Amino acid sequence: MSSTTTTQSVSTYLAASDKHFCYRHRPGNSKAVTNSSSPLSQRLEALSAKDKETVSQIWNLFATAPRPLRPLILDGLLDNCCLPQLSYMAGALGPLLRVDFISNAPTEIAIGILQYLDAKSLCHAARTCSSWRKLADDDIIWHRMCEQHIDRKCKKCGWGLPLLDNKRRNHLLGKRSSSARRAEDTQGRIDAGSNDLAVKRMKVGPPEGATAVPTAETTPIPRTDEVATRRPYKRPWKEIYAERLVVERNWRSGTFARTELLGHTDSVMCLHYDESKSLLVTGSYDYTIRVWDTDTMQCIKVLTGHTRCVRGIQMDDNKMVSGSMDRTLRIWNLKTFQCIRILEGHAAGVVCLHFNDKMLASGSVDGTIRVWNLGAGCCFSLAGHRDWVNKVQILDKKRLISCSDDSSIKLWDLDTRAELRSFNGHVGQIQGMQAFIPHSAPRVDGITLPGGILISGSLDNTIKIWCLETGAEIKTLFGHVEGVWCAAVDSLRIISGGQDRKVIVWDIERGQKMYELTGHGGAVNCCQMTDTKVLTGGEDGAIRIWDFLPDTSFMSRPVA
Amino acid sequence: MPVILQASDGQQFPIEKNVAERSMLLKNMLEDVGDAGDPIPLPNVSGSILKNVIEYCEHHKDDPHFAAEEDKEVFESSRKKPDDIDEWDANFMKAGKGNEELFEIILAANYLDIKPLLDLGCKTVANMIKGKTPEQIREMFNIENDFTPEEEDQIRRENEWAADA
Repeated sequence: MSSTTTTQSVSTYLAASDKHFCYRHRPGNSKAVTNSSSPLSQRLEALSAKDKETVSQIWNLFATAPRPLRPLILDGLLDNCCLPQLSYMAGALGPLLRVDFISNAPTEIAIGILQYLDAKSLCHAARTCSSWRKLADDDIIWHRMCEQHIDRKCKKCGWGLPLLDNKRRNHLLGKRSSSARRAEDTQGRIDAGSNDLAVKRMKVGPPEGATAVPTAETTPIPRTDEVATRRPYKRPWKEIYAERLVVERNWRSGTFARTELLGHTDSVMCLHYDESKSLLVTGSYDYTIRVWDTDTMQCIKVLTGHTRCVRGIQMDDNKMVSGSMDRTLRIWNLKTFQCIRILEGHAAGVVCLHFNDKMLASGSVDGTIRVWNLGAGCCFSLAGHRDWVNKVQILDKKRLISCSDDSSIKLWDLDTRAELRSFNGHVGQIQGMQAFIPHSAPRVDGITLPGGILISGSLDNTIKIWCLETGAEIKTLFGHVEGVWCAAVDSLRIISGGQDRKVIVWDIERGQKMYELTGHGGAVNCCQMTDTKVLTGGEDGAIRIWDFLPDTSFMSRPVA
Repeated sequence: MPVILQASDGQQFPIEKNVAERSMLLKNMLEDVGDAGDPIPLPNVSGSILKNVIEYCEHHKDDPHFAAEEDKEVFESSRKKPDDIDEWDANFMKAGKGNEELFEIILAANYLDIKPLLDLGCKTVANMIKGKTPEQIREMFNIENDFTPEEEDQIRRENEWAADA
């Protein structure tokens, strides 16, 4: 290979700007380049003609001197300086040597620097000047921040942020459209319902100590409004991060807005909330099921039919299933709220239920679990518990888990209908239980639980954390002073409610109590947790909603 | 045979091939066109900066290469924390280097495609920004506040959510 071709090839690799500018004199840096209006020129203009010429001449000589000569010229000048002039130099050099990396580096380098910052520093950087703001608010950086924190614990700062439900996204997409839809639906439901009068019954006297909930008229809004507001809108990642950070901070500090839903005339025993529909259904000792709109916080339906206490309730997109001590399960049409089917078969009261698509499981007072195939209309039993089955949960097509008054938790194989494992450790009846299998293995006290986590609450006053895969007992949580009636878990927290009228929020990773939510006038019978809310039903007949994102006004950023 | 690098001011630096290959730009070039022993001109890098860059590459010449994109995750997870800086690297960045020099090193690392050095430079600057108020950041980087008081107030409110994170 000849040396000429090498040089040519090399030059194609090293292709660069012909002229190398230093930081201060690059064409883009307006601050450093001397121009006629600069203070320096003004000072020059103030001089006598002779002095002006001398000074200009010295400057020009230096400006035209080749680079290698410049240090020598400067050394000579410094040599001539007296101490006061040297300290003048020292003072003048400081600010000049400060380089604005962010404004002057190529964008990818500026982003490279900013991506190492935490949220707070990024927000401070955005406040310095307009060019920093543009970069520090950049979607790429905030997307990365979201990736590091949302639905996982950031290894760097230890913070994890919730993966908010679609509901909230839809909500922010077009708040008006969603409430418009809701109002229409609400109106439709009430009109179509067969027992309108029941709606009025919600104002039946609240239990002692409870405050009345303000009522609001639901006004239908014209449909055109809904169409108009449904436009494509992309939220900035910074806003998404901000929202979730505020939620997480509220969870940590116990900052929330509490709402009470009153209407049931006896203990609330079960509830199920669907955030995407703003719909809450509750079952009570008063034999009724109530349907609540959580946008308006109004009871929109009271369903009757069960002849004893309603103990289990769940809904999906089309149907709702309820289970009662009257030994039956009822399936309701979620659009019309009419009972479309009654499942009979249990020889004793139904205490709990859980369904997953076409498979429905129910647990009974007599210790049996029935697994119903809603499509085929057949059913089989799982026998093994020696006392009331208080909770059932279908884990997947093959596995089901249950807890009982016999102080055991059992994992069942739905193919062989045999018991796979028993989780033993509680010394009292187990009332609350939830298994949670997130995509990233949860950690408790430094122990990783790859197959998911199981929590249980018992009348022995404790909550236990189990490894779902091995059945090992990981930790016992002490905090309730009376029996635990209900418990729920997600990737960041555990909540539990007990006979002591308290709801306790626990940090899952450290396995420690964070704080208590108080307000129920009696035992807390049932609970559910979403990314932003805790919902509880109590012996006092009240339902309480603790909302950890009550205020979204911090996102007041105008659309650029 | 050493590789000779020539800085913008004409200074020449003979270095070992595996040192030069820390730069993906030089590595690809040497692989593709071979080395005829001629000095390789680097018109974007001054002698004093190139000397620093070579010092870094000398120290890291035996590090494993993480060139391919799929290795990036392995590389990142192998570090304890993203802002953890190796002691030698931290001293290298500190040793008498002013902002201007740091800036030129970052630009040179970017131009020569030396990702670990670019990351090190970016982290060093990020650490200078961290934990400072907007006013302190302006002071540190000689930034002129070009917001109107109204804008400043609005932007402060917009970023208030991060205040006690």
